[in-house]
Amino acid sequence: MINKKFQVKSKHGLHLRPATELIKITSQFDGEITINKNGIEVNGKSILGILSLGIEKNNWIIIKIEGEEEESFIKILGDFFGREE
Amino acid sequence: MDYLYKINNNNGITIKQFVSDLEGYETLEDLTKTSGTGKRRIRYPEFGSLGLLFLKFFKNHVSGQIYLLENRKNSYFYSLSFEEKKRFLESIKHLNVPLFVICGHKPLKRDVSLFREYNFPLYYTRDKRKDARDKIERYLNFIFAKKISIHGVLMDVFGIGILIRGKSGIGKSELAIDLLEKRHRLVADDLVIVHRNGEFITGYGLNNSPFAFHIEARGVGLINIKNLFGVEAIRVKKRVEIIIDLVSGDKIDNANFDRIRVKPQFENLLDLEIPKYTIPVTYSKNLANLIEVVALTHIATIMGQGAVDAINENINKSQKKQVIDKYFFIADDE
Repeated sequence: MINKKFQVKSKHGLHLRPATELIKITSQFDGEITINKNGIEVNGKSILGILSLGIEKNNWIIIKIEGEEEESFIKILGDFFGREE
Repeated sequence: MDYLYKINNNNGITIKQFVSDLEGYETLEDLTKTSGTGKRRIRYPEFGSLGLLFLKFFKNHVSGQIYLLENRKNSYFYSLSFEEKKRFLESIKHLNVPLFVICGHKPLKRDVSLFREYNFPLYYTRDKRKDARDKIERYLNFIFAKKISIHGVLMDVFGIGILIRGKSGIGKSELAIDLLEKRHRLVADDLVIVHRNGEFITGYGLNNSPFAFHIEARGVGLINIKNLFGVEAIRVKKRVEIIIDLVSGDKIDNANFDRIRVKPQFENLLDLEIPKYTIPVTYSKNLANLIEVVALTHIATIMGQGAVDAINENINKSQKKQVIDKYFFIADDE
C-alpha cells in the first residue's frame, strides 16, 4: 500500500473534465484507490465522490493505493496532478 | 461550511464561527463586545458545571469549555451582590473559558462591564435555560462528533435508513434509481459521511456541494435527482439502521452462506453494532424489491415479529405438544 501527498496544479482544479480523465486512469487499476482531502475520503473510481470534494488549484490531497502495479499507477497519477493546463 | 465536515475536529471552533452558525437557530447577542475575542476557541462539546466553579472546585473544568449562566429571580447568580460577582470572576480568571452564555433577564450594565474587565465574553440568549442548553449542545455535539466517510449510497426505504455498499460498478447507483422509482428517498450517493449521535449513527452527504443529490449511472451520466424526482425524493440526513453489502454472485461461498440468517450479521460502525445483510448480485434479480423486503423485515423484527424467532417458537411449541394440529383434519376436506 502506498500513501502519497499531491498538490493539484491544474488551473481550475478538478472540475468535470479533469475528473473524468482521472476516472479513466483509476478505472484501469484493479485494486483500491482512495482520495482524501481534509480528512474526507472518497473512492478514487467514483466521479461523484471526487467532484463532491471540490478540489481546487493548489489543494493538497492524499492518495491511498493498494493492489498490483500500484507503483506504476502512482507515477501516472503524479504526472496527472502535476499538469498545469 | 467546509469545516463542518472536517473529520475529527480536535482544534475546536472559534466563537465567531459558533455565533454565525447558530444564527437563526439560537440567536446570541454579544454583550461585552470586546475586540479580539472572536478568535477564541471552544474545545469541548458540553457546558461546564457552574456550581462547581462557585464552590471553587476547578479540577472538573476542561480548557475551552463554555458555561451557561441563568439570570432569573430564583437563580444563584441573580442573588449575588456586585462584590460577590466580582470575587467570583476574580477566582476563575486563570481558567480558559472562551465564553459565557447568559439566559433569563438581561444582565445589568455594570455586570456586563465586570465581565469585560476580566476578559470573559458574555453572550445573551432569549431562550429558556433548557432550550438554550439543548440547542447549543446539539450543535457542539455535531461539530465534535467523530465522523467517517463511506463509499456507498444512503437511502430511506419505508423510513429505514439503508446504507448500500459494494465495489464500484456492481450497481449501487442503479439500485438507488430503482428504489427512487418506487418512491423511496435518497440521502447521498457515492460519498456518505456518518457520525455518531448518542446511540444512533446519522448519515448525510455534502449537501452544500453542487453535486449534492446527484447520481452517476454508467452510460447515462450525472442525474440530478432533485430536479428529476422532486423534493419528495430527497432527504438531508437519515439514521443508518441497516448496512447492505452487494457482492458479486459468483464469489459467494455457498457452503458457508447463512441462508436463513439464524445468526444475524453485524458490522461495527463507530463502536455501534449495525445489522448487516450480504446480498449476492446476479442477473435476473430484482434487487430493489429485495431491499424493500429487507426494510420491512427489519421493521417486523423491531416489532418482535421476526420470521426466525417466530418459527423457532412454533417449533418449540410443536415439540412440546407432539400432536398434529387438529385443523389439519377439519378444514378444506375436498
